[in-house]
Amino acid sequence: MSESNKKISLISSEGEAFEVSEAVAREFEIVAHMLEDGCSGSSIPITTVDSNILGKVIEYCTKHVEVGNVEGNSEKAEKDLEEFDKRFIAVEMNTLFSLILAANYLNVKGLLNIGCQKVADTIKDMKPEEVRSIFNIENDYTPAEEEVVRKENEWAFQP
Amino acid sequence: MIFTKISDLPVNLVEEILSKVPLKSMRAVRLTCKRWEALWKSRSFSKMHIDKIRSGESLMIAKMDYHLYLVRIVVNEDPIIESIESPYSHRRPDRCPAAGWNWFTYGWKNWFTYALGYEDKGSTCRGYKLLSTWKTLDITPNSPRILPSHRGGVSLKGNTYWLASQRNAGQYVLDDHIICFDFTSENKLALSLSRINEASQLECISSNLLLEAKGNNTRI
Repeated sequence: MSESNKKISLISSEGEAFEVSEAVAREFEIVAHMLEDGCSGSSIPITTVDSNILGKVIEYCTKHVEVGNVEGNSEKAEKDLEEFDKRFIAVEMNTLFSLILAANYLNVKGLLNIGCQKVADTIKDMKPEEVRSIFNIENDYTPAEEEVVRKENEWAFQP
Repeated sequence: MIFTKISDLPVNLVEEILSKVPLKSMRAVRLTCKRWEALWKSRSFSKMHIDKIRSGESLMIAKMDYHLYLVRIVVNEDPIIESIESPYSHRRPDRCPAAGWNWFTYGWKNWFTYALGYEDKGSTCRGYKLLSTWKTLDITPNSPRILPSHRGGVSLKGNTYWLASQRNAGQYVLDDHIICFDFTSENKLALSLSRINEASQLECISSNLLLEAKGNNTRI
């Protein structure tokens, strides 16, 4: 069996096995390092990621490997990939945070980057109250403390 | 099913997210909670944020209240200035920029004879450098000797620019040159401004130098 056809099983926290090609598994940098360190087993436990999220991360990596394999990568393919990324991260916030955590753990840099960017883009047009409510953050400022932060660099803030 | 909240993320990931929030939205970030405000003030966050310069944003070194600040300036919409790093302060002798250089010995009053810039080392770190005395700015022997004007230089992208005039230009000295000190290569570069008689002021607007000469503004 040639290396590119080799299959590897990734085992989720629930014990579910996801069979992927080695190329896809190598998109998980953590797995790539394990393989380079001589880990020859064909199944690798990903104990901190559940099936739902692991399935999504695999979907992301599979798409990116597919596009990367196309000879003479066209502009269209890149546009498609951008569209795919956009759709891929259009998920609920808690799923997005789970994806970010998984991408960080598995070291999938592209996914980590678009995930963090999506959260940042969500924050950018919001008022503090909206940020607190959407992210479930408690306002731990006293009114006086809040005033200090408002005053500090007031000139830097928009009216 | 476990719901993951932003507060479940390790601090480095929250930092990564917030550093991607544009400067003009930092107000909401700082006012959201104390944890984010503390993060915003942390040095590691400043470094991350500095490295994510977006279009229409510019980095400059500015002196305010006897402190030096690295400031980020947004000019494409409502102008915003944010100080993101205070590399040196004369009240903090322990953070003196150059070995053997004593802030108190040479004194704040001599500030105008020094220029602070930074070396662009890509995204990893920024090396601040201090250029001292005008003498080091003498241009190579073959070119006219150019002296910077005493009105102080402007900082742009880590380098410093001064209006300058030729040495021995006569009784009426015309600032018809611009000198740039490149803090990365440590090279000096003189630019002759033949189109103008005298420049009155050099300003820094976004990523451009703005030359004010007899009421006409020129972008360089």
